[in-house]
Amino acid sequence: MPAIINIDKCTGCGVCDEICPGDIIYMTDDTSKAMVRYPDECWNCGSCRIECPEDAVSYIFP
Amino acid sequence: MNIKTNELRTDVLVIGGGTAGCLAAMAAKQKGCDVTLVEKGGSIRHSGSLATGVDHYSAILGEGPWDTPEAFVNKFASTRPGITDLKVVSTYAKEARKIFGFLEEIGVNFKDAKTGKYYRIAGLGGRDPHTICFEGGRIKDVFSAYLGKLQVRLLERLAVEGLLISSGRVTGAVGFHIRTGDFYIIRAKSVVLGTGGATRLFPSPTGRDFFTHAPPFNTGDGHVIALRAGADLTNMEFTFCSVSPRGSDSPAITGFIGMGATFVNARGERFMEKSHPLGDHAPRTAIVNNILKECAEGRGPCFVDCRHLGEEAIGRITKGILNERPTLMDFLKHKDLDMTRDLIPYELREMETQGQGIKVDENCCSTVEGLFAAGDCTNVGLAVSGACTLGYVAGEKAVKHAAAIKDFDDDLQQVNKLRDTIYYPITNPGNIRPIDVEDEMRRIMSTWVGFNRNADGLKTAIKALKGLKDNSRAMMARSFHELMRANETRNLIDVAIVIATAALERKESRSLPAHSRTDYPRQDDEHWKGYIIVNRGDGEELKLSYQPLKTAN
Repeated sequence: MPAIINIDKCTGCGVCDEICPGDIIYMTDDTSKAMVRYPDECWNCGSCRIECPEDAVSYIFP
Repeated sequence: MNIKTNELRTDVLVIGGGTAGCLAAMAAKQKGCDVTLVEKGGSIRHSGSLATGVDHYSAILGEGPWDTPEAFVNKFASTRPGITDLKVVSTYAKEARKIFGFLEEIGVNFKDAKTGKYYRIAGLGGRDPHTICFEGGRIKDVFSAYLGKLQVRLLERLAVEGLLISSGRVTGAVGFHIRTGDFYIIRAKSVVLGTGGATRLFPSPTGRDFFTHAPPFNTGDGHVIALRAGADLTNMEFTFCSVSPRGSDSPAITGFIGMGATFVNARGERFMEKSHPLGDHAPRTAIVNNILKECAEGRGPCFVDCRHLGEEAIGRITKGILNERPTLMDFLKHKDLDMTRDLIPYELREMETQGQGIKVDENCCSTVEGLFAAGDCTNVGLAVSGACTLGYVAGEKAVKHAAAIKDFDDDLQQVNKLRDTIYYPITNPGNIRPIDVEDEMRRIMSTWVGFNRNADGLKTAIKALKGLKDNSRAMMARSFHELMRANETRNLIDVAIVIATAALERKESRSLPAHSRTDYPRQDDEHWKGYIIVNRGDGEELKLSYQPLKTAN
C-alpha cells in the first residue's frame, strides 16, 4: 500500500509534498493538509516519513 | 494553451539530480564554471537510487594487495561475463580513491561509529572486502548542502525531454516544469546526463508496477533523448534483474551476504557454490540465475538464511536496511518475518535497464560531441561508487569541453518541434490514459522479451511495440503531472523497442538471465563477444551495428 498520511497529525507544513521523488503527494486545495494524490504511483521509499516532523506518515504491507 | 517560456544559458548543464548528477555538478562548479543541475523529482535530497540513503560503498583504498586499482580491474574482468569496456572501468579504478577522499572532505562519514575505522565486508562479485558499511542514510543531504554552498543553479521538478543539437554537437536541452507546465529552453556548452536506468518496463512481481527495485521514476529519459540526438546505446539487450524478499522491492543482498547470511533452497541446502566458485558472493547476475535454476529444477522456493548469525551481525544488517531502505524493516515486520527465527523468502524482481545504455568512452563522453554521461544511464554500471567517481569525471571533462566553445546556439526550429511533441498529450488529448498504454507495453515485454527470448517472439514484440508507439499519440494528459507520465510512457516504449531490437540481433545467450535466447542457448564468443550498438541513424528507424571488444575481457 502507498504511504498513509494521518490527517489528525498532519499540520500542513508541506515538506512531504516538496520532497516526494515521484510527485505523488500534493497539498489539499485549502493547503491545510497533505494527501497522496497518485497512490498507484507510490514507490514506498519512505522519503516522506523520514522528513515528516509530526510523525504523521506510516506504511502498511498487507 | 498559454505556456510560459523560460530561456537560460549555462556553461555545463547536468540532467538528473541523483548520485552521478550531483557529483558531476560539484566537479564542474569547483572548476569555476556556470553550472545548472536539473532534477525531475521534488528535491535532490530525495531523488535517484539514493532517495532514502545508502548503507554501503565499494572502495579501493590500498589496504592490501587486493585493494589496488589494478587488482580491482583484473577481478572485475573475471567476474563480469557481460560486455564491458575495461578502459572505462580503469578510469573508475584510477579515480576511485580520489573521489572517496573528496566525499569525506564534503562531509560523508564512512567511518564506523563503534570502531572509528572503516568497517569493510565482501559484497557481491568477490571475496575481497571492498565494501564499506556506513551510515549513509542522509548522504543526499550532504550532497545537497555542498551544492548549495557552491551555489550551483538548481532547477527541481523539471522534466527534460529533448536535447538540442547543432552541427553534431549538443547545445542544450528543453523540458517542462511538472507542476506549472512552464517550458524551459536551456542553452549549454556541455551537457552531462545522470538520468539513471529504466524501470517500469516489465510487470513488478509485487503486482504494483511502481513498487520497483530501482526508482520507478527512472524511465530511460536520458537514454531516449541521447538516442534521438544521435548517440550510440549499447548492451541494451542485457536486461538487469535482482532478487528481493518476496513481495518487497529492496534486495538488501549485499548487507545480508556481507554479514554472513547464506542462500538456501526449500530443502535447506546451500546451492550457490554448485554454480559459481564465489558461492553466495557471486556476481548479482549469477545469484539471480542460480535461484532461477534452483526453482526451475524443483528445489524452490529459495531463501536467505540468517538464523545462524549472532546479535552483532543481525544488528548491523538491520542498521544497514534502516540506512538504505527503512520501509523494508516495516515490510518484514508486517509479514511476521523475523530474521533470527525465519527463512526470508526471496524472489526474482522485474527486469530493468541499469548500467546498460549510453555508450561512453574513458572520458565519460558519449558518441555525440559535448554530451557526457555517468551512472546507470550508461553502459558501465558500477553502482554507487561508480556513479560518484564517473559522475565526477564526467563533470570535469564537461568543463574542459565547454572551455573550447565560444558561443551559445540560438536555433528555434528544433526547439519548437520538440515543444510540440512534449505538450501533445495536453494540447491534443486523445481518449487513452498513459497508464493503459504503459500496462500494455509491460504485457508485451513480459510475454516476449523476458527470461526466454526467441526470434519469433522478439519480432512479434517489436511489431506490437511499434504499433503501441503509434497508438500512444492518443494519450491524454489532464495535468502537468500526467503530462510527465505520458512523456515517461513514450520514453519507456522507445527503450523497450531498443531492448527487443538488440535482443533479436544478438544470436547467442550471455550473462544469464540477462539475455537468454531459447533458439541460441549457447554463449558464442567467436561471433558475439562485442557490443551491439544501436543508434537512430538519419531517420526514425533504428540502425544496428556490431563492434568487437578490443580490450581483453
